[in-house]
Amino acid sequence: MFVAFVDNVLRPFWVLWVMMIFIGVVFYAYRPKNKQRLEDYGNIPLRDDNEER
Amino acid sequence: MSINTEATPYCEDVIKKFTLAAIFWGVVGFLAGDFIALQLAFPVLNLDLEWTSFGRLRPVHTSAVIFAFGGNVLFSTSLYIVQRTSRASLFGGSGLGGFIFWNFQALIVVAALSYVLGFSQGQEYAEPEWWIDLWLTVIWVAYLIAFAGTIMKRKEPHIYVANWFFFAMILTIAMLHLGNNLAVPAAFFGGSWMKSYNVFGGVQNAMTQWWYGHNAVGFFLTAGFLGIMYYFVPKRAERPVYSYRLSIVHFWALIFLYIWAGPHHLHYTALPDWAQTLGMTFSVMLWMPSWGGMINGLMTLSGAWDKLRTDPVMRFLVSSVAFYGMSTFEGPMMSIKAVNSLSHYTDWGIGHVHSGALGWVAFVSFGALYYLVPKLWGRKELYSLKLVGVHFWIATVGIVFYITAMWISGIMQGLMWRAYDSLGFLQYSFIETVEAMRPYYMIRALGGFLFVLGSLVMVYNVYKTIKGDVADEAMAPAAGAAR
Amino acid sequence: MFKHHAKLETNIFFLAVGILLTIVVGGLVEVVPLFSIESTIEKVDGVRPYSPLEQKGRDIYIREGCYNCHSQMIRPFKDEVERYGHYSLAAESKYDHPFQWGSKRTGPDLARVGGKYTDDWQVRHLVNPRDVVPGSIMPGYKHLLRPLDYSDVAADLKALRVVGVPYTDAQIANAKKDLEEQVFGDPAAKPAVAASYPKAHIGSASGKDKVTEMDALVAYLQVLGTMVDFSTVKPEAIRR
Repeated sequence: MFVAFVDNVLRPFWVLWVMMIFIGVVFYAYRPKNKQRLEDYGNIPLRDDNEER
Repeated sequence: MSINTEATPYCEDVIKKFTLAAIFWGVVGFLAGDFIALQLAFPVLNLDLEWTSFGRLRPVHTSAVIFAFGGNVLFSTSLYIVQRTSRASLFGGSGLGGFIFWNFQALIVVAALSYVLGFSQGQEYAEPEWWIDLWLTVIWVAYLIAFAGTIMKRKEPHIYVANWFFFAMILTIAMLHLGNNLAVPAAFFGGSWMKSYNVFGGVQNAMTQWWYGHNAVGFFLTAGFLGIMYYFVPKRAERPVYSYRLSIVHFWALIFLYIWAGPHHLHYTALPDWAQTLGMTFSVMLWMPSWGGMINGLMTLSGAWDKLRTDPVMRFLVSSVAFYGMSTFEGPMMSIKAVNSLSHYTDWGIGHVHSGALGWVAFVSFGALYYLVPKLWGRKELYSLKLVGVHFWIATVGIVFYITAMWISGIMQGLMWRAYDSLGFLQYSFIETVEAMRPYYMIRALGGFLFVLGSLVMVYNVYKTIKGDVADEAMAPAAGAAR
Repeated sequence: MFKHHAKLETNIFFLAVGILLTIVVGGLVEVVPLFSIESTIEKVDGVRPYSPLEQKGRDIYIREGCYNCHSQMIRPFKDEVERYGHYSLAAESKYDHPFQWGSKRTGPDLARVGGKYTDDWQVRHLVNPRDVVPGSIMPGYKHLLRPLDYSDVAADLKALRVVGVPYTDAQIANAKKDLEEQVFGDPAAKPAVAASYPKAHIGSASGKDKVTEMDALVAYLQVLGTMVDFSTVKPEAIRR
């Protein structure tokens, strides 16, 4: 059952899985709505020094 | 975005220990590597003793640099970064941290001794016998608890991307380690405690081994060290990563694609063709996220390129990313079957590994260590940035010697193996192709020697920094004062 | 689906699930079919479990880290087939736990080294490679001339049986006897070990009055690649 699932579904259609994940992630990351919020996260490391506050 | 205004008491004594251990094992591992490189040029150095032959010492070298040096760097940096970017102190504190530290150091010594004494599972980069593997599993679970626990008690709502890379590394290495080391000990049947047989054999074992072996590169030496890049490059450049959104795409694409690439170590072997083709395809695709990550790292410097000139620590970090770009281009190329038919089994592979290991892994580690040491010991800056520059140039020249020698010897040997004379006979006997390698093995050993030398400069610099000395030199203002 | 990425970013548990799902697919797709697809291992005759002496030799091969410099996997190229012999089949290493295909040829491939050299050459070469191959960079292994500890050989075979090597009860019960007979038996007298392990190489390579580690290693080397008789293999049985 599990093996058949791997043999018949996962292996032949791997291109599909790759594309789904890739397009999904790119869509999420590059949606204009998310831009400001995501890029702000880049500042997290820059404000972690106790001595600088 | 809530910003915590209170100072968080970060747990740093254990980070200090890991940092010093990383430097120590780095020097040991580099020295071991250079010694076995010399053995190939001068076989008399095998000393005709069972404990010092190349076959037993090479795993000492690979384990020392990958797991002892790389591992301690990862423990040190990841536990430092996860506290800072979570704005929380280490889960489990010094107690759990110390447990991980001392067990890991003891495990390294036991594993190295076991190789020298002749105990090995016989699978590359997975040589330790079964009960050492179980011991490592305990340490790794403790690490997972410390890391994930710190994230769970964080005050920063978002989990910073560097932690994703570390977390993926922790989970994947756990899976690979358990999957590849499934073995039945002879001790269960009254035999030796130092002997076991892998549950997989032949072609299936080949696949699980390189699923493990390639992803030890992909997750331990790549994902983990990308976590380092995503924290220390922005930190040292004092600007956020070039594109945080790109880092998200980089992360998911990298971890999804990497796990498939293992079969490229088995091209033209008895592994079925469909698996080889899958491995090749994914290896070639892997080039894209790798370069996405490289661009993200390099472009973080945009607008601050002068730091490359003024700050040798930055130079280490940025060069490492450039080497990452180079070896992640070379890798997919070598995974193409036609190229692989020439490069496989030759020194080209060794050269490729070292452009990644020395240029990327070690350089990004040096950059991170040079950043961490003054921070952890409360110094304004390193004892001498000039010496960092010296280290950088010695090590870079060493790498160039190393990989050029291996390119030439690898391609030359590959061509000699398949050369035919005008009568249609194989032109060279095997031993002739070995003898032709000799000058390149000497150049490689020289390159390795320079790399060791550079690391000793680092040891001196770190020692003086911790002692609190400051070299009397005109310090580059941008690097020293601004932080 | 995309709303949920926010969960991944803020909840370590969801991030873990996301990562595990992502990394598990590739491994499953590449590893699982190797056990289920019939054609993965060719159907050829002759491949048998290693004799106790050969298995002890194989353990020494692993102990000394020979795989760091020697492959056991001949690729289907003209030059490799001419240099080393018929390209390697998956079937030929099906009882190899662990596999020893290797990844580097600092020295030559050993997949078919069996029978290429005499026992005497092998011993001299292992003791000091430069005595017989002046340009060699291989280490010397004179310590292999010490006695072999084979008190626990039956335990090794039992462990191997658990992982799928089809040793019979009789083979395990006779392990020590078979091992000694393979060294000191008379090949002309057709000893029992040769019936139990066809093509086993009989004789004392080192010429000592005790079984040495050298005897074991040479017995292993001498059987490598000799189990399958390619003159009887039909090409369609091994086509890839």
